[in-house]
Amino acid sequence: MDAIDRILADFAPDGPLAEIRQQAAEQVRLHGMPSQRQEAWKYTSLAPLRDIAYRAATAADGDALDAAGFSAFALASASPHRVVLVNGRFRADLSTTDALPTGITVTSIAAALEGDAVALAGIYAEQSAPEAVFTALNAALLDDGLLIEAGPDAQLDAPLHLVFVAAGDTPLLRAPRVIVRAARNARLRIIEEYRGIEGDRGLTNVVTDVNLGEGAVLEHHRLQSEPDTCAQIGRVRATLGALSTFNSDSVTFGGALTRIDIEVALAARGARCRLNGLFATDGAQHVDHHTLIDHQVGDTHSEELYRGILDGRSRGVFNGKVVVRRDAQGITAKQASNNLLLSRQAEIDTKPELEIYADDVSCAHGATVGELDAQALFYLRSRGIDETTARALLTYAFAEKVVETIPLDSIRHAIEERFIGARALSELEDLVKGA
Amino acid sequence: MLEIKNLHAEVDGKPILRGIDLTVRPGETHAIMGPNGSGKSTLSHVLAGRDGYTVTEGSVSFNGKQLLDLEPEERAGEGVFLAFQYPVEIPGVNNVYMLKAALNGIRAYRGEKELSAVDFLKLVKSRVKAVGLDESLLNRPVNEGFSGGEKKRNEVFQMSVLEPRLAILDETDSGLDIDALKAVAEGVNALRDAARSFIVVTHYQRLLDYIVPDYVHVLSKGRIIKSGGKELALELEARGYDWLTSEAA
Amino acid sequence: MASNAQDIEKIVGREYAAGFFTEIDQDTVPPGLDEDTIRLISAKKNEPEWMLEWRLKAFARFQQMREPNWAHVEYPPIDFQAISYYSAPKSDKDRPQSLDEVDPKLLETYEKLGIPLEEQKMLAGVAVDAVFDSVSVHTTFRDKLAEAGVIFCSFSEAVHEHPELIQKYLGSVVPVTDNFYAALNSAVFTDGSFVYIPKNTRCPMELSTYFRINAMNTGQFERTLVIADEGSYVSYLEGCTAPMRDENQLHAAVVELVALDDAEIKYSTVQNWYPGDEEGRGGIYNFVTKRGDCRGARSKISWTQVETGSAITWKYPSCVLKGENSVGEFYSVALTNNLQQADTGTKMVHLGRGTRSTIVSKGISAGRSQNAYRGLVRIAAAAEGARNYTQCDSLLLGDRSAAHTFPYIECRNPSAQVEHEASTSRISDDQLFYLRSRGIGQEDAVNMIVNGFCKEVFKELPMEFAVEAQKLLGISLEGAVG
Repeated sequence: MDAIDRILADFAPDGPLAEIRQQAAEQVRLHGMPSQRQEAWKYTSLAPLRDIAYRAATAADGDALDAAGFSAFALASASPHRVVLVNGRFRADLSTTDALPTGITVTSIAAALEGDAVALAGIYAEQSAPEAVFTALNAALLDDGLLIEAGPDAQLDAPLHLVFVAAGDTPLLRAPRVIVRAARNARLRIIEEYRGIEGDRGLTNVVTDVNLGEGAVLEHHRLQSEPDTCAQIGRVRATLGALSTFNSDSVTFGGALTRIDIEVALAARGARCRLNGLFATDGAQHVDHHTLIDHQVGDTHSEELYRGILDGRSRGVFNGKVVVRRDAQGITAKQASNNLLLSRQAEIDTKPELEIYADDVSCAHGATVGELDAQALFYLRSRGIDETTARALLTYAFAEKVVETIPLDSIRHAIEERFIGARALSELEDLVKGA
Repeated sequence: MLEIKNLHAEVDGKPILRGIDLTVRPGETHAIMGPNGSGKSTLSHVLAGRDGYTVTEGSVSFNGKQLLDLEPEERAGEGVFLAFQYPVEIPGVNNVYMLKAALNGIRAYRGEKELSAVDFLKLVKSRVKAVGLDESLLNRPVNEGFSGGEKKRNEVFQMSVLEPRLAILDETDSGLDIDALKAVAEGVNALRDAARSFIVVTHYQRLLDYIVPDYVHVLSKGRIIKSGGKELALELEARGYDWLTSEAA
Repeated sequence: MASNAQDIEKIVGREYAAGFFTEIDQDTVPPGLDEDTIRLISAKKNEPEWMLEWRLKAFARFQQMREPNWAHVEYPPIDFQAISYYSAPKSDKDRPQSLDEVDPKLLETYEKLGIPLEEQKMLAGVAVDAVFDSVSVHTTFRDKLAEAGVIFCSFSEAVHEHPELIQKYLGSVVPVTDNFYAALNSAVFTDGSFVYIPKNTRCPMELSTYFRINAMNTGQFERTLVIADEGSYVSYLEGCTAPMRDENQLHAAVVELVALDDAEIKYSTVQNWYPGDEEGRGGIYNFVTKRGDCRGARSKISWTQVETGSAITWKYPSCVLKGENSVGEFYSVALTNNLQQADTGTKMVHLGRGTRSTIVSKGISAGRSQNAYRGLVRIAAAAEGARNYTQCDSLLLGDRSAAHTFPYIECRNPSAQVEHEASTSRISDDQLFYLRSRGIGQEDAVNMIVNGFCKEVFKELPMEFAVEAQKLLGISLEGAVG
């Protein structure tokens, strides 16, 4: 990617992390941009980004949006705990963190760097594999983001809602980092919502690092709702302590090109994770989800459900890998990838993988690609529902299954509006409940 | 109201219906009986417009319209309702929402105004009580996780809301214990009136003790080989099908 | 070891350093690979010019290619210049003269397989005496086949006797550029089998390389071409049941199948090449390209394989479903023990309307082995209404073994239905306990369960093969269960 070469050409990081950032830049130069010859990028070409003249977002780009502009977004949650980053820069004026319960803090990385930068330094030192070149790039460019810390037994009363706004009138390369550290038995629910102003043509290269202590729980909802002009390459890395739980929902509707890697290390006994994902694309959108669940020790458990709905000329990719290491006995791992193709020009490439080096395991995966269930379709039509409506209803149901565990009506409504065109369903449901 | 003439249909090139003639007038209840493989379910499906059946000959007119030319939802709009032998589970599609979409679809087909959510709900509440369906099933996905009895009751409940002109009950008694069977039959009987007709497809006489038919037809190898009154069903119960099928052969 | 004549073909440099070359008659080409080697091979086989041209073209492409490294296997680099690429059928004096000269462990295995003594001799490479004349056996069948119009002969013969068929079909399924090993094979293949079934003919018997046992001596680069003309049927069996004892040896075969309209080819393999010893010394590198082309409408190609041998297996019998409503099937049992490595599976490429494929793969990993299923199901945009069902189960025996599943699904048609299911687990303690409480010994119980696990595949094999395959599993699993 010429533009990124250009960005790194006159790269001279300063500040307390200068050395680490310089090393990360070396990594990027060494490996270069991934090509489709690499297994991890087999189905995703970065060619569309090649000729875009990206510029690394600066602190000044954080002011690109005013409060009025921000309020135009209909957000996924109205939680009182809201943190906003514009072009990867923390915006105190748009954020409300006063009501956060004791034991839970949110600090901007820019602010953290002013203080004790040593504590942060260790976090950036992990870029080695060539696949992780964008993680290295994020580290090289990093000077802002969020540090979210939860002390022992700390608990949120409402979700912590992080809003990342893409708002560039020239193509920006945004590289925010989110660091989540939850101590023993802390319980967090975090929404990462990605939005953008119309016409933004930037690249969001975001990395979320999660570290869960013993018994900690993180519910992580990731919503990619950037405009169809943006590109996003994101990575979520979670390391789980004993008896901790990481539940991730990744919902992608927006973006021209979206690549998300979610990697979970089940590093101590009793750790478990559930990864759910939904992508619904149209036009020329391209969405690539890679997940890696690494059962490093015994008595760890995982479940995964990814669903894709592809319309127009869009292309979806799912690669889910489950690894069970040697001597990691007593493992259960379940994985499913279901996909609906709605158009003759759409394409899905799915690859659920198992790599197993221990024997006391119960691992299964399934993958399907197909049409809507013909029987269900006939049943609905025989009741008098026209074919278009019946299809919409079944498509909605297909999508809804993935997000039914997310306690955010806004997401269900978004799916409903997308596939049914109105909120008729949830309104009726509420009515029946109320009556 | 319904006139089936010389109806032939096949599945994968294999003839199943081989010349059915049947006339159903308003208010009548016809029982179609017959051994397994006689074509009973095929007849139900062909009338409702399911894919996979090829009609090779004959016609079906319903209130003056050629039923076979219509899409399944148009048939529903005309007032045909099929109560499935195996009601389909549809995960994720809310039961009551489906019903609302169905009712408004049918109303739109007839040029009637959509029912408001509130009016619809009133209707639903009254009917759900009438057929004795557990109200909590309304907000659940269609048939998902329902017991056999609940599924059949749900079919009858849908029928009571959609108020068809012709209801086809396809082996509604299969898989039901006697209490559930009675309850379902009561629901059906409550809907019988001078204008509404029923075709009750069944293997056993049992159901006809509760839904008493005006006519009984015996189907064998894709043809109606005998027709009679309700006493024919009793005779079948006593003597089985063999005497008839061998007679026909 | 050095006195075993089978090593003539086993071509790793070390063997030659042991002084083989000097001992061998002039019919073995010295190690090394260049154009001259290929000219020499072609000349020795007295091939027509077009065949040589074809080989040279393949060689030119081979030189531009790199060895693939994506498979989940590890081995030291192969020195392609240290291999000898041609060895004429052995003369009797190089063979062991009696079974006494053959490794007793090998004979023990034959014994367990229930192979008759005379066949054992053949399998062990002992010079065959007049009692069991493979040539006459061969000829008998040949007459019967000729009556039906079936051509079944060695590849070399076919080049001379049926050049029009060879020229038309050779490389039409597996192009020379397909992959590194296929290119190598195309350049240096020495012999193999050729089958042609004429229109509307049902081949009167199951064809088997077993009947042409001498073909086994033709080396590690054999080439098989099976053509089923319109409306024909053939069942072809390939038995590599001879456990060869050896140092690492490269076996890079190519098999091409062509099925025209309404034709059906059933291709069954029981592969038991020498897997190496308990410490992973020796064994075959089995890098094979097998592909079937369902070229005609309603054609069908079915692969069934039972793989228990080889140190490393790299093999993906595939179907290209071009013809409308054509059908591809792949049934596989792959068992690895000790330090064996297998990366095997299939590719189903759906190009035509209404094409269907079924994949059933059963992997069993024991010892410290690595067993990977790698499969591709590709539905092209034009493959309206295509269907695939894949079931892929792995059974782990012992906590040092590994099982992997890498299925690639690429779908570009909305009316297609693709379904993939996979599971990995070990033998359930409950099942084992149940059988043992009924008085069945541990090892038998495990065998029984493993055989049950593989049943879906075994039932696809011709009867005799199925019996043999079951026995093989038992033998291969010996010592795997504590």
